[in-house]
Amino acid sequence: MLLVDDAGTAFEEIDAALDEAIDDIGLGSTVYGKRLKQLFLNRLKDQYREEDLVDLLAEMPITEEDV
Amino acid sequence: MKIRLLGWRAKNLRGYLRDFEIDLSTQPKRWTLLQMPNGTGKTTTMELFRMAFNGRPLTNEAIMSFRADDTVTDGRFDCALEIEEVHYELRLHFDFRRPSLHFETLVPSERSGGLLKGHRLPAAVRHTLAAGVTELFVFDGELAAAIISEGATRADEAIQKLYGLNLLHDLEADIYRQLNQRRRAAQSTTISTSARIAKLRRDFEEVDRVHKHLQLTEQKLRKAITERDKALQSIENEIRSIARGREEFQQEQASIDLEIDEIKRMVEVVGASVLTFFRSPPRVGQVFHDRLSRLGGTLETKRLPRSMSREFFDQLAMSESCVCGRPITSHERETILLHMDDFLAQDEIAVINQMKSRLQAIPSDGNTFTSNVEHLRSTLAELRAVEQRGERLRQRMKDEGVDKVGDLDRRRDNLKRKQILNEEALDRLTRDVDHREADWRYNLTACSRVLGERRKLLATAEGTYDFRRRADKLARVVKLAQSSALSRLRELIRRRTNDYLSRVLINELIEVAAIDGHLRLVGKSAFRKDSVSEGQKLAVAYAFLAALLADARHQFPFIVDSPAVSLDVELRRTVGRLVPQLFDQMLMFVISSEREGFADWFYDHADARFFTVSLDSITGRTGIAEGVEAFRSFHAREGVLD
Repeated sequence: MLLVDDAGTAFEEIDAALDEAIDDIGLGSTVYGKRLKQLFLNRLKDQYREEDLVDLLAEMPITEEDV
Repeated sequence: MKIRLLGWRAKNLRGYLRDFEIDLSTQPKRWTLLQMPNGTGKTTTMELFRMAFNGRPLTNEAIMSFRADDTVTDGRFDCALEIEEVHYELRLHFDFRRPSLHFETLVPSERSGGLLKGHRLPAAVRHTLAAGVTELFVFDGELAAAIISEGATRADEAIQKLYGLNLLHDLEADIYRQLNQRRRAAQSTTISTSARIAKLRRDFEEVDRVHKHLQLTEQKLRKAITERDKALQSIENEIRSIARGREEFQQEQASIDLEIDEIKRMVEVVGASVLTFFRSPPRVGQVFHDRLSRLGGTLETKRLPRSMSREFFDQLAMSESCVCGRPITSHERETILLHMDDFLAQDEIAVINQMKSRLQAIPSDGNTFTSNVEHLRSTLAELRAVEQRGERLRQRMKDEGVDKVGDLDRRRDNLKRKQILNEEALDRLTRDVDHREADWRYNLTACSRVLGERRKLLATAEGTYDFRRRADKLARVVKLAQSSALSRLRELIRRRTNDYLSRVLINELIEVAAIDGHLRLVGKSAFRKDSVSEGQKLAVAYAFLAALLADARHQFPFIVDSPAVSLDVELRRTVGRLVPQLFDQMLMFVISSEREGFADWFYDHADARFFTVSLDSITGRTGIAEGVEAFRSFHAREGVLD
């Protein structure tokens, strides 16, 4: 909620944590990964739209390992 | 957003707040000190500020508790604020007849005249307050103890609320809400298989119930173990304290305590070092080191192509002509594409180059994982030896007729027996076993596996299997983001807290070793956690809050009741110099005993304003005097009204 671009180091730490989590599922450099990060940022700023979540859920890439 | 407090008014409320007004809008200052004798409404005013900022309804009983006396039928509390240069006034109307409490917000800049129903601060500020952060800036003294108290989670909660990480948790709930919607929609279209789905659902719900029960059992066992640990520690402290109180044992006990503290600190240091080495494969042992060094040498000799990556050939195949100028026909194109995969991709080259540079920088100072493990082993052996000395001293005390030690020893043995039983039960419950070998009704890991299998069967039958996999994967990312953000923020705030602490507790050498639900304190020299004084706790809390609020989007006024009352004069001076610098606006309720060492620092500051509240013992009315002279010379018989 206090997450804004001018919030200093705490913002940088949260931003890095989001990148880390998205990298962890191998989507770091993809368009999907960027959209997912935007969804997280919007959620943290209390500005998110449910349609974005529905779209991202439908498009989440899965493999045989994702059980 | 910058939020400034411009003043407040209270009418017909308890604690002599019958007709009370402070106006800070003229001559705004950074620091306001309000000297109020005990019993004249400090605590009530703090509660009113919290209510005004939170904007939450109250129970009838709570509303009535604010009534000045039986003759009044209504009461008011108005709190004037400036938010980004816009004036707001929060008004709380107490109706003691019904009873009820309602909020109004006056915004003079609004066209409609500005009086709005409800709690109508700007949305961003309201959302922050709704997360429950008010106790951080309308400071609750109990918070100081709670953020240090072992097993508590207040420090983590403060971080999560202030930085909105709880919103990520809500996102996880949203994901599963979507899944449930999908499932309901699927169920309504598969009537022909409804009997099969119903059976699978019953099977799943059976395991789900057992799983929840086992999780609860695990929580209870862990809680019991933690509490018993505390009880054991308390007995240990009591025995030590008996030994320290008797001349014939005190020297030996002091020497044992000192050695144990030193060795435990050493165990922490060496333990951390062992972990660091364990994470660095070349330093695990000589064989690893030699083989990885050889690999580094080989990679250096077998030079990797710098630009001939797979991507290069991919691009070349799409070109009209080769780099040498010859045309590329479909035959050449097919051949290039056929052999393209024989070359490394750019990201693979980058990884190998990174490996090369890491392997070239392998240290060879002989300090390895093995040597550190050996060091840790010998340190632990030393610890055991000193603990045995403690046992012998205890036996001597019993032999020499110190009965209390015998009683405590028996209690301790009894507790230890119960502790072992609980630990064994926890181990049986959580041990990782193949569920075919264990009964899933009694083992949590086996139960989790069966739960997963039955969930999959049910989801497949419902036609939501892939959707569930997607939802699970997204929820995993959300959880990871949340935990990673929390640990990063914990570390950032820990470092900042220690920085502030080093300025406040100059000679006391206390620092925060970790934030793990609560603040885990350690000392740089001989230090016992149970020896932290109230004043030190408060200093740690101030340092933590300042570190926490440093990056906050909204700058709230910091309001505090009796900030220095539990500090000794020396600590007051240091805390009193540091704390006011941490906040843009600070309102301090003080009593006259806090003038020395704390309030007196503000006397010469032009950016401070002073009010003194006095009580006429005959009329029961309060008077407010402004100015430093009245503040300095006020004599009150503190506490007589409590």
